[in-house]
Amino acid sequence: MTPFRLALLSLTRRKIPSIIAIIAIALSVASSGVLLRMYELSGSRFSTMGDGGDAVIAAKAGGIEIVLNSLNGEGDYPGFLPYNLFKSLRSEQTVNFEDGANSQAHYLKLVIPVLHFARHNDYRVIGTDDTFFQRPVASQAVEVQTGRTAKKQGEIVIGAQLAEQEGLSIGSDFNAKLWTGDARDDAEIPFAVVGILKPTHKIWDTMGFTTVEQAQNALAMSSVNTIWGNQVLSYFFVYLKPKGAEQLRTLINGRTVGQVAFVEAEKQKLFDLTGTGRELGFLMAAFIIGLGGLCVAGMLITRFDAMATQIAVLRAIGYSRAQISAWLLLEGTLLGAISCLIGALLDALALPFVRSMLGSALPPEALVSSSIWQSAPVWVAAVLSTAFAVVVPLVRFYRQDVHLSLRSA
Amino acid sequence: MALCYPLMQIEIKNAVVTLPVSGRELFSIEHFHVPAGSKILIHGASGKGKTTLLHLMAGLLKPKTGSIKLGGHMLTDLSDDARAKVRREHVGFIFQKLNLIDHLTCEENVRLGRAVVPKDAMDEALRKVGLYERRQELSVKLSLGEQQRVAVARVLASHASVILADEPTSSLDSHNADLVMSALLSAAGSQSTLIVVSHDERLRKRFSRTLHFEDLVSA
Repeated sequence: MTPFRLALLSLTRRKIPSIIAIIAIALSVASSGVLLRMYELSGSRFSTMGDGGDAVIAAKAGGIEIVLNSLNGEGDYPGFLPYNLFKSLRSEQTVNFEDGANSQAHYLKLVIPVLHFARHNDYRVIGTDDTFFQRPVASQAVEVQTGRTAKKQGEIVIGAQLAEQEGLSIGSDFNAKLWTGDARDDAEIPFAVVGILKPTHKIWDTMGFTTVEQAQNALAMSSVNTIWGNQVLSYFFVYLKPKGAEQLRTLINGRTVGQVAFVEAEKQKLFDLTGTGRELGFLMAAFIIGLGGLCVAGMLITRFDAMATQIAVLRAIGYSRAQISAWLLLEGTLLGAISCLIGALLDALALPFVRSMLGSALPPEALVSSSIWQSAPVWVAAVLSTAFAVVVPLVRFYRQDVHLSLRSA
Repeated sequence: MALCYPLMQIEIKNAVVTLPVSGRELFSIEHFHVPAGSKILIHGASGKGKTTLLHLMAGLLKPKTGSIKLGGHMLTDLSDDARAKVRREHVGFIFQKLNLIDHLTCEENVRLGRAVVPKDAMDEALRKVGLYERRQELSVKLSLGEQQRVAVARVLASHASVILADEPTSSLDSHNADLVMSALLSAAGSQSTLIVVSHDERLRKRFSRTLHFEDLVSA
């Protein structure tokens, strides 16, 4: 009888201990896999976050919320800023206030307008202008790969990932739904794709970009009712001249309806807030898989200890050490492999549920997907730890004196 | 069909056997020769070293000094795995109890005897010991007597040249002891060398040659 068959029969015939071991390891694999993927997802925020210059100006809100919504497409529909404020800032005109004070924004290098107004299967569609594609910092460039940017009514340029996932090319029809955060606004807006962006590996790859004018026209047809009518924007992405930060903060936070979020500072705050949790999650994943491995080691030691005499009988009837070692190793590996399969299945089923429970604590599924293969290191660790768990019984077996074992039986 | 497998004699020379931990001498054998095909009962009181002698002949332990030859194989010169190979190819072993792997069926236990056991040989062996109908049952569900008969079937199916039996009937009632011994002698046939060590007096009548353990060894 081959070692493989011996291992298979040992696993299938001793059902209850085998099932308990498999459940224990599968749960360890599933928990560790989910934790590991959450760790990756949490980290993906920082790798997929779009570049928005030095600062983002938005309606009054928390700094992290502004950055996550504007640069990572997370959260609810954003509030509005007056378009006139954007125009004043861009043209570096003097902004006059009711109390007689005025300010001239000569510390701005570039201001990019952004208006969120539609979605296509959870991918956001925004109105902006050519400055979005002409960043002053080369590393933050968002370039058109094929076609051109949107100029006229009904034209749109889309991100590389969106084009690939939806199978879109230049000339394709692209239907988006009006999105204002109000359920009544669900009118369909037809576009034709006129350009596809180069992959940026940022959130921009999943977005559609059209003109501010089109976006404002769409809002005019919606239930949105602001004191500025449809002359609004969601965000201004601001590139600052040196030492301009404090002046911008004083102007926007102190004297307008807007709020400045300095991108790097807010990202650092977010990293500090989530960092401890991420590291803890990663440690927990390692801890759980270690615990699972120890459980299996304990179970296998007990299992093979109970078989010491029977192993001695096998040795007496001529089984070599190599054959019995192969049996033990195969039994451990099979146990690990079956458990991993079940654990991976549980992992795949559990993560969407966990994501929905955690809500905005993780990036939305439509924007950042998580492949089950991200859990592969856990599976490798589980199979290795179950195989390693056989080491103790193996060492004992190698030290076994067959003569004494049979005599004392 | 007549079975042909090598006739094997056993020869022990100047063997000194010591206790594993203390190193104290347990017994020594100046010369003991078992001709090929012979059927021998070695009897004696419990605890004197009969099992150790049997294990010595199977190569399960090595003497401190001296030599043990099984057929053409000098066991004392071979490695642990090489001795296991000799046992696998030529030796059949039967113990007093715990002969079988309890999560395997009767026929699977019979298959353990050799790398390849033809189905015909396995079925025939199980028929000879009267357990063919129960071949699919787990061995743990069998009585001790039935388990001994499965162990005999394993030896039978493996066509062992040398059969070593350690107290094969000591835990059995007379009826089962008779059944097991009949099966064992049938398994040995005329060609296999059969050595049984036992303190069971009921076995003497089944053997033409019996030896007293104390006469073989010097303590």
